[in-house]
Amino acid sequence: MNGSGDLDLLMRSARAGDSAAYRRLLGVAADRLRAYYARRLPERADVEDLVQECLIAMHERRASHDPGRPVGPWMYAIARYKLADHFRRRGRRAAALDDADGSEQPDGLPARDLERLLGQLPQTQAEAIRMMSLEGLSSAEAASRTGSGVSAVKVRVHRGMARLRALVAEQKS
Amino acid sequence: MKTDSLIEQLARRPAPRLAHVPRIGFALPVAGAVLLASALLAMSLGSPAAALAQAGTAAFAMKLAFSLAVMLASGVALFASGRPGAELRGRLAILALPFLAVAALAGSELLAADPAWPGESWGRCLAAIGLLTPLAFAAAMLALRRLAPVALRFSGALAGLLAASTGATAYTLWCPETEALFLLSWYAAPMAAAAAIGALLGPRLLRW
Repeated sequence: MNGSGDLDLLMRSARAGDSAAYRRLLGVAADRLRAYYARRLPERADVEDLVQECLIAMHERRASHDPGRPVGPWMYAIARYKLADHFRRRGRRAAALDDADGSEQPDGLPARDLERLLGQLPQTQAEAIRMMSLEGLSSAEAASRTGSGVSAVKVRVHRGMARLRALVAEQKS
Repeated sequence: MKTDSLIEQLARRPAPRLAHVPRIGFALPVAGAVLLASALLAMSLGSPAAALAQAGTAAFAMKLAFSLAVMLASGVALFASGRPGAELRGRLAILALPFLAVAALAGSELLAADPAWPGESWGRCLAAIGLLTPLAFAAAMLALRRLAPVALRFSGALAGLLAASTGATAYTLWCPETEALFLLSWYAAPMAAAAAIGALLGPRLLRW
């Protein structure tokens, strides 16, 4: 692994407008963040999600880095914040699922039927519905995970839902 | 999406040097709040000349020094709290100084004589600071927009302190009072209350 001075040098070049250095900075940061989260999270997929979330946060809030201070403490403080946020969100989601357990499925539609119906949708629509309606992600989160725009994700959910309704109506009749 | 392609996308977006100077971006909304607060007070209370004459230069200087010191110190601390990994302890120690000074002055007033309390214009003072604080608090939230607060309660409390001291700084021009005890009761206490409310609101308003 590179010394921590590396990140600082890369940041300095990036600030001077060197976009190749900025790309390398994000690459080195991704490696460090991956190691950081791998020690703290059991799920591989969560690790990668959080790495990406941190990279986006570092990019969007890069003004919050003080040029006179090392990059490492700044990056790890962001990483810690995003980790705490992850646990809080997951706690909420788990509580929501617990609540839902006792209640009946709307329209008496069991989970495996839902999966089968989703299988009949175009891949992108099914994925969007899984993320937003089943996992409870926001449209912004779903958009950044799939690498598409927020409005595109919303349109996919909307079209997918319309298609699902049509499929269910077909089955009932 | 793969992390590598995310990095490609981020690096392709506006060059990092385009990030504006953060101190100016932070100070502008706060300065705007001071100006707007002063304008609102001028519109509702008229000219500050009478109150200034009644208070006298020394009392006015004391109130302005206290409010301005809290405003600057809390502004500096709030800015630092928006930079992950920044050192905060020294900045917080400085923030305590104006409060200690006013408490000491008020204590000596209590010992020396029987000071008038609550003071003639306390209601107006409380109303002015109470009405201006939410406005300045909104400005503080705006100021933090591009920064990255990681301790939301703490940043919220500092934002509350900054907001109330901004309102108080503007109000000093219209305040006819002369006693440090008044300053402690109707300037410092509302600032503390605003800090408490800010600590409650921080986690909701500052999440990112």
